Amino acid sequence: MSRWAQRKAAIKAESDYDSLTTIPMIEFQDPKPQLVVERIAEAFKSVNARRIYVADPYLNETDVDLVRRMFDGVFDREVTIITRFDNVPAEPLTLCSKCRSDTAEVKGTAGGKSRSERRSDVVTVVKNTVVDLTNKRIFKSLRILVANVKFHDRFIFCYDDGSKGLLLWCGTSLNHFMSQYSGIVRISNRSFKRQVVKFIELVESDSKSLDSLLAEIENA
Amino acid sequence: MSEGVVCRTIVVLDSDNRLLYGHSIFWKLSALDYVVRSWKKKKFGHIAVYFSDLDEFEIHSVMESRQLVLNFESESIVVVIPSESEEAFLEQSYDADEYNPFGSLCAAVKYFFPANAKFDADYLSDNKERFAQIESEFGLSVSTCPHLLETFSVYTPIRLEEDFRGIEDHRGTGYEIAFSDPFSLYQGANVLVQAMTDGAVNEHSYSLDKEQHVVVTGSVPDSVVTSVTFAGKLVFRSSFSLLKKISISSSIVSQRHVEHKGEVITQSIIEKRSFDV
Repeated sequence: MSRWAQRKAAIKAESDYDSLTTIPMIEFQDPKPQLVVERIAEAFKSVNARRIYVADPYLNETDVDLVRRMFDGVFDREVTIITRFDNVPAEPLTLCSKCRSDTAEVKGTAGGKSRSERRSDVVTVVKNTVVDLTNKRIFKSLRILVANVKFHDRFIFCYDDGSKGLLLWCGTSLNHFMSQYSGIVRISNRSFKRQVVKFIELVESDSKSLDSLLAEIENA
Repeated sequence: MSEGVVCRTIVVLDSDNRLLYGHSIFWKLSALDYVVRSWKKKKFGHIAVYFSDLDEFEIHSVMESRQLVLNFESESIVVVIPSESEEAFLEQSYDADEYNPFGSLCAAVKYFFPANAKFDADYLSDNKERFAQIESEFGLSVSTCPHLLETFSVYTPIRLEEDFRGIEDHRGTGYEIAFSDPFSLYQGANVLVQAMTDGAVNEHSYSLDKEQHVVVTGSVPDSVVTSVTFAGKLVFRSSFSLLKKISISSSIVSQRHVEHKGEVITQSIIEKRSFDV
């Protein structure tokens, strides 16, 4: 191999920048969430994604709208969000007067509401957003699956028949999108994608709807 | 400028006048070509692009001394040309893996590149917006060919263009071929056409002229390699496959608008269609 060819091969191997394998806060001095939303939207559009799964154990009131912004560019998509609403802390939350930490270990009450009341509030807002989007037929279907199994990782995935699928692994929750130096990683490993499909199948068979979750909270 | 040849030269420099990219093209002028006789500068943030048409003597001296001096009224900039060099011939080939700046021409090229392989692989992605501007304005392709970063190339395009097509009509079945030689530099050169059909090779050679040649082989070739040698030197080589069938997968896109929370969402409605031509 000539020295030019050697140099070219070495540089090609190093030059593998991928706009979907990145730490946005490192890539940009002032990252705008919208920028990554647009990149994700474009990437899923270019693989012609129709069935999309978003997994995040936490789900905030505003997260459904974030998912909507990522995927509303194409009509007739089936979007499923897998969550546990784990973000409402196990114990009622207030700020610790000494360390200003907002971790869940500190006991107290927030706005005079118990944990189950606040959890019920979040789930109700999410449910209303889903109903609204469904009535407007923005998606062919928009489902929220509340997983019974515990899970931790966050990802965005599509696997339509006959396509290789697009899998993005997200370093943080949707509601911390683009903050805390979190990254997103595009995963092309096929075996790993098949494992993700098995995880989705597992949740499909062992999950509850928003209504059952609301009933459960009420009866607790 | 001798015999109507200019060396179209461009260099991209950072704020320390370090060479980010450069090339010079030996360009034989036609009646319509313009000439830029002094250095022009355009800035893109901390990156600056300089361009000018030099004469052959100047470029030979640059290659010899490994220094390109940009003279302006009040200052001059000395650009260091990398020490390592290598020559190559750029073909017109469907599987060519080297960047060829000329759409349908072959070219001889001499690359100048740094000897030590220290390379900042993130430079292009860190400066991608600036490079995108520079590339669209000056027709460069550094970001898609990162190995061209920190190099200087001297191109000599061969002004010969091939016109080839398969035929199946009253003249017979085979192909027709013609060469355009606008400066009449290669008349009488040896043209060798190797046409492949189902693994069988049909060879035909002729002396290059301005005529169209019809060659009846009994079949439209699947792929063709054409070489032109002039004064014992290869000046043109192309290899390509002929399209016999095109499969088209098209998306029919229409739009739908929905109002949601005070904003209008535009949705594409995509229908897939596949057909053969």
